[in-house]
Amino acid sequence: MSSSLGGGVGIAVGLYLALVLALGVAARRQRTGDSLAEFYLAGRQLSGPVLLLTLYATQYSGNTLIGYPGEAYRLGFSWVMSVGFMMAIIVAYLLFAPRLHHLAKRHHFVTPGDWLTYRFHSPSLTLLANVLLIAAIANYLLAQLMAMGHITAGLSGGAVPYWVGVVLLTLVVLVYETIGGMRAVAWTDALQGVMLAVGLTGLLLAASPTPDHLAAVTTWIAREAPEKVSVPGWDVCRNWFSTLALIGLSGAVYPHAIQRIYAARDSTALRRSFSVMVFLPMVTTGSVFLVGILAIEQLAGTGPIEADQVLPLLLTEWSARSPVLYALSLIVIVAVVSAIMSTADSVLLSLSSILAKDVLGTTVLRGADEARLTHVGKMVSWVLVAGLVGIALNPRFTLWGLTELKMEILAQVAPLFILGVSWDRLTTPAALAGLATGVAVYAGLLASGHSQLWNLHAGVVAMLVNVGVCIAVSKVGSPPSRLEPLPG
Amino acid sequence: MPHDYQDSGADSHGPVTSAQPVPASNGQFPRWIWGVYLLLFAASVPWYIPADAPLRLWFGLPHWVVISLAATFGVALFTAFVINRLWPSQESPDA
Repeated sequence: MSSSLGGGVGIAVGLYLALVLALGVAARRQRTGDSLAEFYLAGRQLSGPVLLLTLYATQYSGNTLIGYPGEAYRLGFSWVMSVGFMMAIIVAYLLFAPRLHHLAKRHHFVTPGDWLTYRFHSPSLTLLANVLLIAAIANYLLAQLMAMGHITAGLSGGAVPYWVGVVLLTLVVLVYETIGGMRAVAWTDALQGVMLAVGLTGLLLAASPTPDHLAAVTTWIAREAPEKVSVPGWDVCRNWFSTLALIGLSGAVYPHAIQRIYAARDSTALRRSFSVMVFLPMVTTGSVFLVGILAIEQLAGTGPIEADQVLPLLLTEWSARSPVLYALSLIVIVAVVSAIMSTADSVLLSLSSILAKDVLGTTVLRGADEARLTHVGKMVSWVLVAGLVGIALNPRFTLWGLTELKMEILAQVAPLFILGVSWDRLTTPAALAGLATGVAVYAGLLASGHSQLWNLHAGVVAMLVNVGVCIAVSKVGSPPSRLEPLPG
Repeated sequence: MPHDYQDSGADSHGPVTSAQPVPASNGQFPRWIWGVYLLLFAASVPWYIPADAPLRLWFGLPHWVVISLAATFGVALFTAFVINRLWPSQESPDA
C-alpha cells in the first residue's frame, strides 16, 4: 500500500489533523463557562445541521468503512442486513428520544445516569447501569484506539508502526477534546461527517457500479460462490432479525448518543437531524456493502485474505489506475481516519462525564462545584486513555470480538431507557430485577459457550428475559413509594 | 431553553396546520406506527422467499436483495413521515 499511496497519505492525514486541532481551538473560544453542561453538552445548543453531522460521524465508526466491506466480501449479499440494522437505530430513537429530550432540558440531565436517578431513584440501579455502560463503551474506545494503530500501520505499509498510530491519533483527540469539550467534539465531528460523506462518494465513484456491471459480478459470484447469492435460509433470517434488534436497540442507547439527545438545542433540531439520519444508511452502509460485493470478484485472484484487508487492497488497486482515483483513495483514507477519531472522541467524552459526575461526583467529590468536576473530568480522560493505550499496545482481543461484546452489554441497559421512558408503570424493583437477570443470563450463556441460541445473539435472548422480568415484576408488584411516576 | 417550551406550547394548543407536527396525547408517538414498523422490518428480511428460489436479477442484484432494500427504504420514508407529521408535543410529558 505504501508503494502506491505513499507520501500523499501522510500529507492528507497531516492536513486533516491540523484542521481538527484548529477547530478545537476555535471551539474553546466559544465557551461561556466551566459548567458540566457547557463542557459535556456544548451548552445544550447543538443546532440541527451540527447535531446531524455529529450523530452521523459518531454512529459510523472506522468499523463501518473497514469492517463492513469485509463482511460483505465474506458473507455475500446477506450483508444487505447492515443497511437495515443501521436504520433500526433511528427507529429505536423514536421510542424514547422526544420525551427524554424534553425531560433532559427540564431537569438538566448531563449524563445517562442523571435520567436513571430521576426515573428510578435507586443508587444501586444507577451504579449497576453505569458499570455496564462504562464497560461497554470503554470496550468501544479500546476498539477505536486499536483501529487507529491498524489503519496507520496498514496505510503506511508498516513504515509508521502500530504504536505510533495509536499514540499520535489518540493525543490529537485528547488535545482538542480537553480544550474544547463537546463543542470541539461536535465541530470536529461535523468536519469528520463531511469527510465521511465525501469519502463514500469517492468509494462509489471508484467502484462505479452500473446495473450491467453489477449483473456481471452477481452472475460471476453465483457461479463461483453460489452460497453468497442464494436466498438466505431460515437460520440466517433468524440471525438477521436478531441483529436488527441487537444493533437497533443497543446503538440507540450509546451514552454518547443519549448525550446528543440532551445536547440538542430544541426538538426541531432533533427532528430535523433524525429525519435526515434515517436515509443515511441507504447511502453510507449501502455504499460499503456494494463495494464489498464488487470486491468478491475483483480480489478473486489475490488468494485468501482477511476481511479487514478488503478495503485497503481495493484502494491500492484503484489508486494505481489514475490520478483521479488516487485522489479519491486519499479522501477515503482520510474518511476512515476521521470515522475512527470521531467515534473515539465522542466515546471518550461520554466516559469522562460518567466517571467525573456519576462516580466521583457522588463519592469522593460529593459537593464539589461544577467547575471542579469539569476539571477532574478532563484529568480522568487522560488517565483513562493512558490505561487504554497501554492495553491497545498489547492487544489480546480482536476488533469484532470487542464490538459484539459491547452491543450485547448495552442491550441489557436498553430497557432502562426505552421502557423507562415509554412505560410509566415500570417500577424500580422491576427494572433492577430485569437488569440483574438479563446480565446473569447473558453471562451464563457466554460462560457455557452459547454465544448464540437458535441463531439469536445471547445478548438478545438475555434482553428478552430482561424485558419479560421488567413487565412481570411491574405487573405483580406495587410501585415503591419513592418512585416518581412520569407525568403525561 | 425556555424558547423551546414556549414554542412547543404554542404547537400543542394552537391550530394544527399541515406544516406542523400533530401532537400525540401522551408525549409519545401513536401506537399504530409500531405495527407498520413491524411489517416493514419483517418485509426487509427475506424469510418468506423460498431458499431454493432460482436466481433472478433486478438492477443487477438478486431479486431478494432488491426487495429487502425496497422494504428498508420504506422504513426510511415512513420514519420521515412519522417524524415530520406525528412528532409528539413536547409539552405533554412533563406538563
